[in-house]
This record gives sequence, structure tokens and C-alpha cells, in this order.
Amino acid sequence: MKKIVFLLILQGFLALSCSERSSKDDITLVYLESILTKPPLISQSYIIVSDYSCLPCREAIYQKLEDKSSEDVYIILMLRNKAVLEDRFHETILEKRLYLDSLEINKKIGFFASQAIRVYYDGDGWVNEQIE
Amino acid sequence: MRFTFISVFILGLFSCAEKSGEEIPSAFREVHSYQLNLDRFTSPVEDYYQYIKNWKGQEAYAFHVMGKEEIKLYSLGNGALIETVSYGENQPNLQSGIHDLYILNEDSIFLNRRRAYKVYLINQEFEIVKTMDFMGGNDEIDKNTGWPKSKETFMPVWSRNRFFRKIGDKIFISGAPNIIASSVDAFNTKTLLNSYSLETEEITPLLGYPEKMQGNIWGEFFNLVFSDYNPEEDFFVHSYAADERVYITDQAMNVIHDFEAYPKGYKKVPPLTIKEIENSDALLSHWQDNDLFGSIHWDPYRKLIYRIMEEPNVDYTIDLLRDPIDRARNMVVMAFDAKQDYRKVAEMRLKKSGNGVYLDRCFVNEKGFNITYVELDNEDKLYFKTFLVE
Repeated sequence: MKKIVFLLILQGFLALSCSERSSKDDITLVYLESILTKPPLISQSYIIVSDYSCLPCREAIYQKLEDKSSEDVYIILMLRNKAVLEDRFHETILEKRLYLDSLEINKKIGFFASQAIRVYYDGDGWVNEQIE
Repeated sequence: MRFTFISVFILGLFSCAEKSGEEIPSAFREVHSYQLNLDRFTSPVEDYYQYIKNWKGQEAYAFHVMGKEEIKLYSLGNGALIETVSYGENQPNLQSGIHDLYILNEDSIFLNRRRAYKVYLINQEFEIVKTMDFMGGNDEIDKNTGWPKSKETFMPVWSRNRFFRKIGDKIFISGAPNIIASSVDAFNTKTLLNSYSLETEEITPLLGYPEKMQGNIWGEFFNLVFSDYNPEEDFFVHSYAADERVYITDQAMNVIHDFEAYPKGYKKVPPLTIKEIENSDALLSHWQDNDLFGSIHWDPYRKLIYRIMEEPNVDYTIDLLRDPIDRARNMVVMAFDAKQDYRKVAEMRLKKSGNGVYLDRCFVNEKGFNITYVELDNEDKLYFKTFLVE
């Protein structure tokens, strides 16, 4: 019986450490860290959106960013027109609430997001959630 | 196994539409190059653009900078920015949602608010002098699809080499049907090209697909038709993305003449299979792995028709296909002579390289046939390479 309990505990430990290791290697987190130049904060939620996603989809997100009605940190990748975005979100970029991937880091590390995603820590690990 | 290989090889030979021993009497030669010096707000790959023969005395090229709600006009003579038309700042009803543009002259600019199914005509004081409504009075948006309920309604669109022109008292305008492109119904539509009477506001759907395309599913990437118009002789020319023939029609879209217009080595595009309809990656592969016909241009100076075909993309990343630079392909340009029963008189292949790409964004002027060229490491410049058939 003791052996079984020990094995179960060991299995749980291994599963936990595996999950943690896979989180660290997760390409979304690698991408976030490359853009932010530091590891993402577990207290912070991040929104990643492509400037080539559908117009109403991205505009709904940009509107929130513009209204400053969100505490999230935003990353826009696949920029159609960097200058237009810089102009529109000038203040937000200065406040470090928006990062523009103008160096196309996503292409270099092979990270793509055709739909906007929210990345957050839920206590057990990092979660990637697609935004409708 | 060996038999299968040989069979596939023989089938491949037969499916290839190339005319063996075809003689092409002339060749394209690059004779000139234009360079535009773009300001920081103009991207070399803006989605909405137009060649303008005369803007306040200068030959010009216009871009609609979405997000800024501005039109930037550049001189083809010296490459400098001539003027910024800030319609969003000056017209409170046009501050967002504008996509396509068409500049008729300094006092008449058409702006398309696609999702409202409305095209606005503004004058140089930024007053809206006409609103063209493309959604019938009794129609309404279906909340489930986001499209109008009536299948007769179409979304006005004329970017990506589709058509918008004022001819007499009518507007001729391309339309995207309100039918999902992965259905047979989408290829029975007549709304590919429509007329709108400026006097009566009557909308008439005019152009559908050739019979051979009907009954199959071609999807959203092969459902396009590109058109141009010859005002001197009053005829249209049409190039369907998945059809090797070119069609010449009158204003009612009756076919006057049609002819084969494909390059050496062209392979017929097959319609979509069930797998390609159901799997988005397979659908994208069908788009990238096949020859794709593009824009068509009437050259009034030399009485030629130019047709573009993009070759299969040999090197692409599925996740990057929305970007015009990343999805650029090698391109074949053909010229057909109206004086020689539309015989092909020249053909050339333009290859993309690590330095730059050619894009199917072309115009004809007195100097020749001009094709967009983008240098990959310089987003502040845009080039047009001018070619002549000699």
C-alpha cells in the first residue's frame, strides 16, 4: 500500500514538473519573453493579436486599447503599417502597455497567431485562450 | 509501382495545357523605372491604391492609408508626395470603416464603406454629394452570418485588381456575393460585376462565371474575376482566376470574343475536393500549389491586352499568407495583340528573390506596362518597372 502511495506521489510530482517544464518551453512564453525582454509576470494578462486578423476582430481589441479600458498588456505582430499603429497608440506604447513586433521576432522564432489570444497564469500554469 | 509512376507521369503530361512548339514573336524589355519616396505613413503594400493619369497636372499614384483615413498622392514624375487628402479629418461621417477608393478626378472621389454596403462620392470640399446604397431597403443583416439576408445583395469591393469605373451615367462595380465560397451556389451568381445607375439608382447584376466553372466549387481564392475596359471601342476584358481563357464582352456582358490566354507550362486548376473544402490547411495549399491567373489590362497606346499569371508558390509558410510580401510568387506576364486576333506576342517570367518581389499591381501608361516592385529591405520606397513589347 505504501509503495502504491509513493508511486502515486512520484507520478504526481513528475506530472507537475513536466507541466512546468513544458510551460517554460512553450513557444508563446518564449515569444512573450523575447518581446518584453523579461519573463512575463504571473500577475499580468497579455493579449497577442495579428494586424492581419480580420478587421472587426482586431478593431474590437484596438478599441479597448485606445479606450484604456483594459489592464492587459498588448502585443501586435505582423504589422501592416507600423507608423499608423505607432501614431494611433503613441501613449500606450510609452506606458509599456503595448509592444509592436516591428522586428518580426515572431517569424524568427516561428510563432504565429491567426486569431487573437489571451495569455495568463491561472495558478496552475500559463493558459493560452483564443479570443472570439 | 513502376506502372503507377509512368501513368502519373503520362497523366501529368496530358493535364498540362501547354501548346507544344508555340512560337512567341516578340519579348518584353524593361525600358523605364519609377521610384516613389513614401512617407512614414504609407506602406509599400497598402491594400488600396490607384494609378491616376492626371492629378492637378501631374501623373500620380494614390494610396488609401487605412487607420489614418487619408489618401496619399505621389508624383510618378519625381516620386514625391504631392498631397494628402485627409477625408476622415474633414468629413465627420467618414471617420472609419472606409476600404476601397476610386479617384475620378480632383472633385470626385468614391469611398467604399464595405460593411455598410455603401459607397460615398465626395467632392473636394469633402462634402458627401451622393451615397450609393447597395443593400436593398427591405433587406437586413442576418445576425448569424453577418451578411444581408437577400442572396441578391452583394458587397461592393474593388481592391485586388477588381473593377470600378464610371462609364456614361453608370458605375460599373465588382461585387462579392453573400454566399459562402465553398458552395456550388457561389458560382451561379451574376454579381461579379454590376452596374449602378447614377440617375435611377437601379442596380443590375451583370457578370457570372463561365459555364465550365459552374457546378464546381473553386473557393475564395479562385473565385475572383479581374476586368478592364476599353473606352474607345467600348468593350470589357475579363480574366477569371481559374480559367485559361480571356473573355471580351460588351457593356451587358455578352461575350463578343474569347481566346486562350495561358503561358508555357500552365496546368489547369482543379476545383476543390471535399478534403480541401473541409480542411483549411488543404484549402490554402490548393491556393498556393496551383497556377493562379491575375489582373488583366487593356493598353490603348499599343492595342495590347496584358494578363498576369502567378505560378505555384514554391516556398511559403501557411501562417504568413495574409501578408502580400510573404505570399508573393513568381509571375508570368503575357501580351496579346488585338490587331492579330489576340495572338500571344510576348511572355516573360518575373522571379521573386531575396532582394525583392514583383506584385500583381500594375497599370498602363504611355511609357508601357508598369509592374510594382518592392525591395524587401526598404519599406520607404516603391518601384514600378516599365516594360514594352519589342
